[in-house]
Formats: sequence, structure tokens, C-alpha cells
Amino acid sequence: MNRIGIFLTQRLPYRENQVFLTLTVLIGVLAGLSAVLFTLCIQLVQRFLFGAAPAHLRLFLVPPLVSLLTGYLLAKFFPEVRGSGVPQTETAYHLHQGNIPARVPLGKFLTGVLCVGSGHSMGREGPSVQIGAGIASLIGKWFRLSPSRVQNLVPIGAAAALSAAFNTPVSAVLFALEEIIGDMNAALLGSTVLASVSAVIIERSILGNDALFRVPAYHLADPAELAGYAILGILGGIVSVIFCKALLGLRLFFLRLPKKTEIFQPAMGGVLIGIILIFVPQVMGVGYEYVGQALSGSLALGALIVLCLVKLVATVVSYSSGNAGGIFAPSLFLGAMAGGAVGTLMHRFAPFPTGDSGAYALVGMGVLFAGIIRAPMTSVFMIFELTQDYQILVPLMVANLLSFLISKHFQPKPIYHALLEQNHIYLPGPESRLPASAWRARDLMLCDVDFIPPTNTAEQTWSFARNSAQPGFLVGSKELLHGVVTHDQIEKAIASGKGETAILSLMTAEGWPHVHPDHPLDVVLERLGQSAGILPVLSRHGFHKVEGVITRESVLQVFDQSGSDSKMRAANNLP
Amino acid sequence: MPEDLCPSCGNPLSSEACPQCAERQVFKVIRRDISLLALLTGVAILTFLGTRQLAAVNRNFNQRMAADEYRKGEQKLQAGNIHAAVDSFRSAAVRDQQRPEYLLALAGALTLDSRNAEAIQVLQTLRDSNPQDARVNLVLARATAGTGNVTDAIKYYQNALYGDWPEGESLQQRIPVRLEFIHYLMDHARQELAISELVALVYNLPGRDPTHLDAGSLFLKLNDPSRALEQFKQALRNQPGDPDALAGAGRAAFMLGDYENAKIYLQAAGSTSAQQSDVASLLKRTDMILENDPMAAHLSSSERETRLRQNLDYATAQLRICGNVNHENVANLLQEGEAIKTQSQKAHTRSDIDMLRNGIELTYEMEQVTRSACRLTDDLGDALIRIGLRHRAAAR
Repeated sequence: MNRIGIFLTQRLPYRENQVFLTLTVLIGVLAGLSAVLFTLCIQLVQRFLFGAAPAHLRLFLVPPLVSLLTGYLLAKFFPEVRGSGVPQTETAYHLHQGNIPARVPLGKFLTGVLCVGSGHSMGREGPSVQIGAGIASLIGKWFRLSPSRVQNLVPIGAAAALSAAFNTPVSAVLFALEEIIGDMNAALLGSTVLASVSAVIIERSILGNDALFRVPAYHLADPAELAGYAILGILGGIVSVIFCKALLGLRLFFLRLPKKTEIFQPAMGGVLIGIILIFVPQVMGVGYEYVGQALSGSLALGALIVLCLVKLVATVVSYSSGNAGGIFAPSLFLGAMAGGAVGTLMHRFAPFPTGDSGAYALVGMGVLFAGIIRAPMTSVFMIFELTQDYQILVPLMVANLLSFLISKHFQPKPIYHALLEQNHIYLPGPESRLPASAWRARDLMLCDVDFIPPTNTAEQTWSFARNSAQPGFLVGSKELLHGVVTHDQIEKAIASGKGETAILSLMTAEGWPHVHPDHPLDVVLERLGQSAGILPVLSRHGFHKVEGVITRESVLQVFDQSGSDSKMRAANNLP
Repeated sequence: MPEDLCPSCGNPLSSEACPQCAERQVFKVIRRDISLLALLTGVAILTFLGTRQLAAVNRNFNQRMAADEYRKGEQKLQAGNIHAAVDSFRSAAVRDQQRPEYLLALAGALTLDSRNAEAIQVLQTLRDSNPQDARVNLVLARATAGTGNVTDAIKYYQNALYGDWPEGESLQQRIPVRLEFIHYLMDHARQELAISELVALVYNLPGRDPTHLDAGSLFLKLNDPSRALEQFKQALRNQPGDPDALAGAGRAAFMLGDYENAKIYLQAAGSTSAQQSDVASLLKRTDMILENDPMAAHLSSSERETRLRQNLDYATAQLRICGNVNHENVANLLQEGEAIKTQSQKAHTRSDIDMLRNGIELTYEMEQVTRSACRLTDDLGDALIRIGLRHRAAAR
């Protein structure tokens, strides 16, 4: 074997790492391109189907006619691509080790362009996420990466696509971590950032540096204005709940219809959308143009309220009837309108100085996103990234938190999870995603500990030990532990006639396995295996100070209890 | 699919026993990785180029549509349909975000539609990206002025004046903006600031600029007849015989007490002036001053004394009409008046200049008392006061 061969053979085990890093950038580029292409195709199709100033007949006919075609495609070829794409991506990540069939990104692109382009009130971000994740999964499989690597590529592709679709790289990363992975501390942070940045560079090099919205300059005119934002948060929470309940209710209705109607369901929704478009064409498609108008304070109070209500109805109808499109953009649309309405009212009636209605519309976008999508961190950073203004953070957090809490109270399941459950898919909850290392010794220990006084003889100890099921005992006191003596050691000492021997002399001099309260579960289990079945938990503030004891039984007892973490802490009076 | 065999040992390539097998296996994996990466890179480049082309097509279409909407907006604006113009400009601005003039036009139309708050929001966004843009600051100033926020409006007007104008348009644009700003300042009782802006305006004004006429009128409104006269004279040098400039110069000379020149200007302005009746009225007043001034040039002594006596007679009569007024000086004034009249009747040979001055001063004081105490005023009374003022200034 030549030198290069030897070198390469030695490097082969690290191949996956190097390929993974390269693929991160490449996936960022490709997912970004797919998102840009998706956006452009939607615009072209919409222009082709509706023209510059569509007549009423055209507005009425286009959605149902195109939905007949998409209904056929969705029912026959691409059943996995109905709806947003975010829940499907989560399913692929959590349940299928990131495996997404090749037809999914293709089908999502095709049907998404047709559905959103034909006037359905849906967003482009959700489909972009599914397309980006699908591309990432495909590439991972082509490179024959391990299943765990392919799984890791899915959120990377999703973040990249979202970054390009919404032009907010930081919140795209947060969305991938918070919503798709479900863990803000995920080790994929670096790769996700890399892909997201690659995607946004590609997006800006094609579409230019223009922001998605012309965001108004934000300022808090008076501290009392926070009350206005609190009102917006409450209203946003209520609108979020209404939206989620209506969407889930109508979707359940469509799901319960006979299977043979599946092809025609999108067209049924299309008929309703056609009627809506005749009267309120502003709710067509993504609708960011009107979000921009709300942000610049150009819409009157009546228009804001009407657009909020009609968009809610139109999105519920479009999504429930099984079309392909997301709820990301509609939630921002609803938020901008609701926020603009609250802002206009505050401006008119508040007894203190208030900002422009555009500022409320901006915060409203975050509020509805927090209430509907239920990704609070993403919602805050998304608006922050749009404004690049620190001043907005406090009102934004106040309003988002209220909306989030209200929405969570009345609709405990997040919308994406609830949609999946309607399809009998149950994603693992936060508890399932918790790594084993999240369990600490303090969570597993018993605080009520019996000690053998060090002055006791083996005989005295035996009289206590023989009736006990414990495999060993701690010798000393809570403040000063001398060591551990096992049931077997005492029994052997009695059998060999050393009953009057001090218990201290039976203990081994080499030390004994122990843990500290902060040690993770895997260390606890390892040391418990090395011990005689009893593992003292010693304080970090004093090596001989005992905080508790762990036995096999205590560990099992903790895991037997449902919600054991909190209960264990409560039982042991731990903070 | 059958696994590849090693040509050295004949075993499957995955076999770890043979070093050649292992090496071949490594190279195979790496070759495959590199091929796939090259393929994907190629796909990415092609997709990038294709997408960029599509984006360019889309952008061009949007730009054409935006330009079309912009044109429609301007037409609607000219037709007075401001509301429809706003919609067109908004559509243009949404379709093509690269052209700030669309947003500027939108803001301007919103201002005309009295939607000042909305216009300000649009303009603030533009201003954030380029705070020195003079055109943005100007429209922002107008919109802010519409909201009644004088302080901010002044700030934006000043930003517009000292901001960046498009290449080559700087001076031409600044002049009307400054004039607009001066009018705004005068409307909001900021006279001192208005004068300083007006001085700055004329300082930078080219000699042949027609704005000298406007500047003169503004100086007149700001009670600065001296600078006004300079500007009107410059306007007359640029366009001799301009009736408006002549009328302005006449008015400025009148305010300065230079009634001889005022008469010349006003007579020259004559009937061609747009302010014909005003000019005629002013000319009548000027004539009255010149005809009643005892110190006027080319008068004989007796004419001077006659004028003085007539003036004193008139002032005395006015004061007597106003006799019910309990003014402590009235009796003294009447007494002094009689004394000067007597003195003037005795001095037949040559005019006593001091007597004339004293008589003019006395006439002035009598008319002032009449005016302040009884609010009695007429053209002749006004002329006598002006004669008095003129000679007071000359004596100083």
C-alpha cells in the first residue's frame, strides 16, 4: 500500500465528518435555491393564472379548477405533501430517522406552486421547509451516510430553506432547533447556522438585498404603551386559539369524508376560496403585499379587521381541504392585521402617547406566530431580525408571552402536533427527547438514609442488618461518612467468629464507589454497577457529607413513577 | 448486485485481509464521494444560473409593471385623483423596491391626500436607508408640516436644504425649497429664521436668476425694505421695465422714506402692474407726501412756509376735532403751532430752516397725538406723519 493509500485508509473513519461538513454548505446552497425558485414559480404561476387585473369570473374559477389538478396529484402521487410540510418534516426527523422519499420534495414543489399560485390563502415557508429537508435527506442517502447523519441533515435543510424563503437566517436556525428538533441545545447548531447563512447568501445574490417588508421605525412612545401591547398579546392569543380550533375542526370534517372524495376535497375548498376572492382578493396567496401596507399604516381600521377575519376563514378553508401550503405566512398576515387594528384603536383612544399602528402590526406578527406556531423564541427573534431594533424586544416579549400562554391554555397541543395526531401520528414529546444525561444523581437518590454508628460491632450491626433488604449500609453519620459495609461482609464476619470486631475494620481501605448530586445518570449506573448495590451521594461541599443514597430499587422506583422527575424532587423536598 | 472483487486476491473488496483490497475500497469510496460532490456542485451552479435568469425575467417584468403604474399614478395626480394616484404609486413601490422615487411619489401623494402620518412612515423607512437624501427630507418636511409639528418640519426642511441632491440639480432644487421653507417659517411666526434663510438665499442666487423678484417681495413682507429694494433693483437689471419689480421697488423706496424714487418707480410701474390699484393708491400717498413736504427740493421760501402753515392748520384742526381728549400736551402743542405760524408769516425774505424743522416736528407730534388718542387717521394725516419721520431720520 502506498503512502497516500495508508493516509486515506487512516482517514476513512473520519470521512463522514468531513463529508457532513461539506454537505452542510452544499445543502444550504441547494435548499436556498429551491426556496428562491419556489417563490419565483409561485409569482409566475399567479401572474399567469390571474393576470394584472383579474375579472370576477377568473377569480372565482381559477382556485377550484387548479385544485382539481392538485387534488388528483395529491391523492394519486404525493399524499405526503398535503398541508404545511413542517409537521411532515418533524415526523421524518423524529420517527423515520430523517428518511424522506425523493418524490416528496418534487411533489411539494409542484403542488405547492399550483396551490399557492392559484390563490389559495397559504404560505410558502412551510413547503419550502419540507422541500429543503427532502433535498437534504436525499443527498445524505446518496452519500450513504449513517442514518443518524441523514437524520441530522433534515433540520439543516429545513433551516436553510426557511432562511432563504423568509430572509431571516437567525430565526430560521432557531425555528429548526425549537420546532423541528425540539431542543434549543442541540449539537447541530453550528451546521444549521452554516447552512442557513449559505442559503441566505444565495437568496440575496439572486433576489437582492431588499428586505421582505419595509419595516417602520419602532419606538415606544410612552411606558404606558406596554399596556397596549399587552392587549395585543391577549387579542392575539384569542385569535390564535380561534384559528387553531377552526383549522383542526374543519380539517377533521374533511378527513371524515369518504375516501373517494379525497381527490375533490381541494377543489371543494377552491370553490369557497373563489367566492372569497371575488369580494376580498387581498387574501389571495401569501399576501405579504398587504402585510407591508399594514406595517406602513396604510390600511384603515375597517380594512384591517375585515382582512384579519377573511384571511382566517380563507386559510382555514384552504388548509383543511387538503391543499399544499403553509400557515407560517397566514399567521404573520393575521398578526399584522390584528396588530394594526389594535394600534389604530390605541392611537385614537389611548390617553397617553402611542406609536404608529405599523409598530403594533409588527409586534402583532410575532404575537400570532407565537400563538399559532407556538415557537416563542423564533417569534421574538424573527421580528427582532426584521426590525434590527432592540427597543422592540420588551413589548414584543410581553405580547408574545401573553399570546403564547393563552393559546397554550385553550389549545394545549401545538398546531403542528395536533395536525399530525389527526393523521394518527404521535410525535415524541419533550420528555421523550430528553437525553439520559439530563437525569442527575439528585433526581434518583433517597434522602432518608439509615446509618450504622462506627462504634458498632459486627454482631450489633447484624442484628439490624438481617431484617433489612438493603444490600449494604452506610457507616458513620450524615455529616461524616466512614464508608460502606455490605450485607455479605457482615454475614461473613459473623460466620468466621468475628462478631465482636468493630464494624470499621470490616470495611475495605481502597475506598468505595460514590457519586455527587450533579452526576448524570450514566455515571450513576456505571458506579452503581461497581458498587455493592448501594451508592452514597456525597456533597460537593464536604467529601464525607452525605446527601442521599442510590440503590437499584431507588432508580427503578423513580422510573416507575410517571412524571417521576418532579415527584421525586417533591418527595425528597428538593428544590 | 454482486460485490466487486479485488484483482489481487479475488476476495470481495470489503475484505480486510488484503491491503490492496482495503486500499481499493478506500479509493472507491472517495472517488464516489468526489464524483457526487462534483455532480451536486454542477447541479447547484446550473440551478443558480437558471434561477438567477428566472429572477431577472421576473424582476424586469415587475420593473415594467412598476414603471407603468408610476406613470398612471402621475397622470391620476395631474387629473386631481389623488386617492387613485396613491394606489398606483403604492403598487409601483411594491413591484419595484429598487426605485426610491416610487416611494417618494407615494409619500408625496399621501401628503396631498392629507394622510401625513402614513406618508411619514413611508418616508422614515426611506430616510433610514439614506438620511442625507434631500428629496426624502423635503417630502418628509411637508408631511411633518401637515401634522403641525413645526420643530420637526423645520429640521427636515433644513436637512433637505443641506442634504444630497441629484448630481447637477443641487442649486436649481435648493432655491424653490428655500423659498418654500421661508414661506413656511413666515406662516409660523419664525421671522428671524426666515430672514436668515432669505439672506442665505439671495447670497447664493445667481445674478440673472428670476428669484430676485420673489426675494424682494419676501424681504418686504419681513419688513426689510432696504434688502428688498436691492433685490428689486437686481430684478430690474435682469428684466428692465418689469412692472412687478418696479412696483416692489416703489413700495420698498416708500417704506424707506425715499419718496422721490418711490414716485419714479411707481409711476413707471403704472397701469401695467398686476397690483394696479395698490400701485395707484401708493402713488397717491407718495404724491401727497411730496406735495406737502415743506422741505422738498426746488421750492421757494414762501412755498415752503405756505406748506408748513397749511400742514400746521390741518394738524391743528385735527387736534381740535380731537379736543375732548384730555392730553396734557395738547394746549402746549396748539400754542406752539400758533407761534410757528406767526413766525412764518413774518419771515418773508428767506426760510428759516430751524423754523421749518420745528414746524414739521410739531406737525408730526400733533398728528401722532390725534392718531393715538382719537384714532383719527386719513391720507393727509398719514402723509404728515411720514414727512415728520423722514426729516427725523434725516436729522439723525
